[in-house]
Amino acid sequence: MTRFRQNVKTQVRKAHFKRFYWLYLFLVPGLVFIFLFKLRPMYGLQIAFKDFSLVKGIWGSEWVGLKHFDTLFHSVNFLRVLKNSIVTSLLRLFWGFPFPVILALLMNEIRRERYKRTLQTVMYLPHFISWVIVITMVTALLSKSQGVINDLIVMLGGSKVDFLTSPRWFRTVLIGSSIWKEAGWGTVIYMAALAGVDVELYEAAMIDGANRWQRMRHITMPCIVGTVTIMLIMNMGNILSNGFEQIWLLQNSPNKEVAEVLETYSYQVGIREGRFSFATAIGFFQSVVGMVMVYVSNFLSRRMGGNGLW
Amino acid sequence: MVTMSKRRKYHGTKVKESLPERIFCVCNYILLTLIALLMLYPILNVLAVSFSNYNEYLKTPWMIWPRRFTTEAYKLVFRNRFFWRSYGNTIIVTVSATLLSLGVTLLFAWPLARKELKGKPILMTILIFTMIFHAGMVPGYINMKDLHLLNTLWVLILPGAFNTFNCVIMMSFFRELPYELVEAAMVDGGSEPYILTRLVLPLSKPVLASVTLFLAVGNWNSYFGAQIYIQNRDLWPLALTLKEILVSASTAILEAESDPGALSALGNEIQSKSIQYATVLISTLPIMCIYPFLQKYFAKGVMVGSVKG
Repeated sequence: MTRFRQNVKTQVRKAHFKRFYWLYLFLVPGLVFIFLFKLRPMYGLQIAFKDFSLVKGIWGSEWVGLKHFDTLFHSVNFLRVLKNSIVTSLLRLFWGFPFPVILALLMNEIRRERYKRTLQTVMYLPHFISWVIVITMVTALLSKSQGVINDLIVMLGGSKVDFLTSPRWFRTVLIGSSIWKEAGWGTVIYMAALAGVDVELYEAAMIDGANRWQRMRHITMPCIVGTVTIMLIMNMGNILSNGFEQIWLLQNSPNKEVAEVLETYSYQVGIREGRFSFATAIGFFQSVVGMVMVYVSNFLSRRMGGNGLW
Repeated sequence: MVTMSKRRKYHGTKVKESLPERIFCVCNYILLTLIALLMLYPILNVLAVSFSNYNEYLKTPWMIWPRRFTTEAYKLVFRNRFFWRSYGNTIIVTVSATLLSLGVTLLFAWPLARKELKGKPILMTILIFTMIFHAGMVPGYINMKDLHLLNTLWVLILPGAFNTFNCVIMMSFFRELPYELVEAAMVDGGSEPYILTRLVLPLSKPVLASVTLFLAVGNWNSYFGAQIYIQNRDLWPLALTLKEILVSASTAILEAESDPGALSALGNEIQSKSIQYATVLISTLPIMCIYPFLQKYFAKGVMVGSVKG
C-alpha cells in the first residue's frame, strides 16, 4: 500500500514537472546572476578574518581571527565614522521619510486631475538628475562668492554663511538636497497605493456625512499604512548606510570631520589604500547590523499586527 | 481585462463643503504649488544660464530666462570628443543593462507569482537574503577581478542584471493579475512561454514601464561603479566624466581634451559656468525625454507587497 502511494507521488511529481518545467527554466538566468554577483562575493567575506594578500589569493591567505575587528573597534577614526553614519541616517530617516508620505496625502486631496498630474510631473523631475549635477547646482546656489542664497541673506541684512565647507552646515545641506531630489519621487509608491483605494468607500463615507479630514483619517491612511510599514522596514536596514555618491561629492577636507561615513571611509581605506581585509571587516559589520535591524523591525511590525516584509 | 481598464473617477460626487474644508483646500493648492516651484527653479536656472552670455550670468546669477541668448557654450561642448565618447559608453551601458535586467528579473518574478511553482520558500529565502545582506565593496571588487571584468564595460552591465527590489515590484504586480485568465490558457493547452509572452506581458505594461525607467535612470546617472572598476578613461560613462568636468577638475579637462585653441580664442566672453550648465543639460536630456511618456504608467505600476511564499 505504501509502495503504491510512493508510486503515485512520483507519478504526480513527474506530471508536474512535465507540465511546468518552463517555470523552472525561467528561474535559471536569475539564479545564475544571483550566484555570480550576490552570492559569489560572499565567499570573499572570509578575508575579513584573514590577512589578505593579492599574491596568495582569498583561500591561501592566513587566518587571523578577529584581529581586524579588534583594530576596528579600537580605532578612533572608525568610531567617529560610525557615529557620523548613524547620526546622518537617523536624521535622514526623521526628516526625509515622512516627507513623501505627507506630500502624497496632500496631493491626493487635489481634485483637478490635470493640475495634479502637472504637479506630479514637476515633482518627479529632480529624481532624474544625477547626483553629480544636483551637487553642482547646490554648489552654485550656496557658494560663498556667487551663491544666490548668500546674496539673499546679505540683501536681508545678514552675513554670508559658509554652507559648503563648514562642519556645522554639512548635514543640513546633505539632507536638504536629498529631500529636494527624492521627496517628489518618493510619492510614486504611495500614489500607486492610493490609486488602488476603492472610490466607493469615499462615496459611501460622503453620503454618511464624513468630512475631508475624517475621510483622510479613516479611509486614505489605513489604505497606505501597509505600504508605509514596508518602506519603513526596508529603510531600517539602511541604518548604517548613507549611499556613496552624494556624500563623496559634498565631502571636502574642512567638513570631513562630520562628512565621512562608512561608505566613503571603506572606499578610501579599501580601494584607494588597499587595506582589503580591514575594509572588508567594515563592510561585514555594516551588513550584519543592517540585517539585524531589518529582521527586528519586521518582527516587531508583525508582532504588533501590522504588515511584514515577509 | 475589463476590471483592469475600468477608469476610476476620483471623488466623483459633489458635496457641499464647510468653510474650514475650503480653506484647507486653498492652502493645499498654494503649498503644493510652492513646493513644485521650488523643485523647478534650479532646473530653469541651469537652462537659462547655459543659453546666456557669461557676463549676464555674473550680473544676475538667479535668472530663470536666458539673457543675451547665445549657444556658444553648446558649440564648445559639442566639439569635445572625450565627452561624446563617454556619452556613447553610457548609451551602450544603459540600453544593454536595462534590457538584460528587465528580461532576467521578469523571468524570475513570473514563476514566483504562480501558485504552481514548488520550492518557493527556498527561493524567497534567497531573495530576502540578497536584499538585506550585501558582501560589501571590497569582496565585490575582488569578485569582479576574479571574473576578469575590471576595465570592461561588462562590469557596469552584468552585476545589476538581477535586481531584488524590482523583482518584488513585478511579483506584487503579477499577483494582482486575474488568475482565471492564466488558468483558462492552461486548460486550452497554452504552453508556458505562450502564456508569458501573449497573455501576461500585454497586461503588464505599467510595471514594465516603471521598472524600465528605474533601471534606465539608475544606469544613466550612477558613477560609483565606474569609479571603482574602470581606470581606462576611454571606457568611462558620462556620469564619471561629468563628475570630472563639473566637480574635481572643473573645466580643465574640457579645455585639455578638446582643442585647446577653442577656449582661448573666445577669450573671457564665455566661461566655465555656461559650459558646465550646457554639459549638464545635454547629459540629462535623454532621460528627461523618455520620462513623460512613461509617467502615465506609474500610477498602477509600482506596488510593493510582502515577500511571502
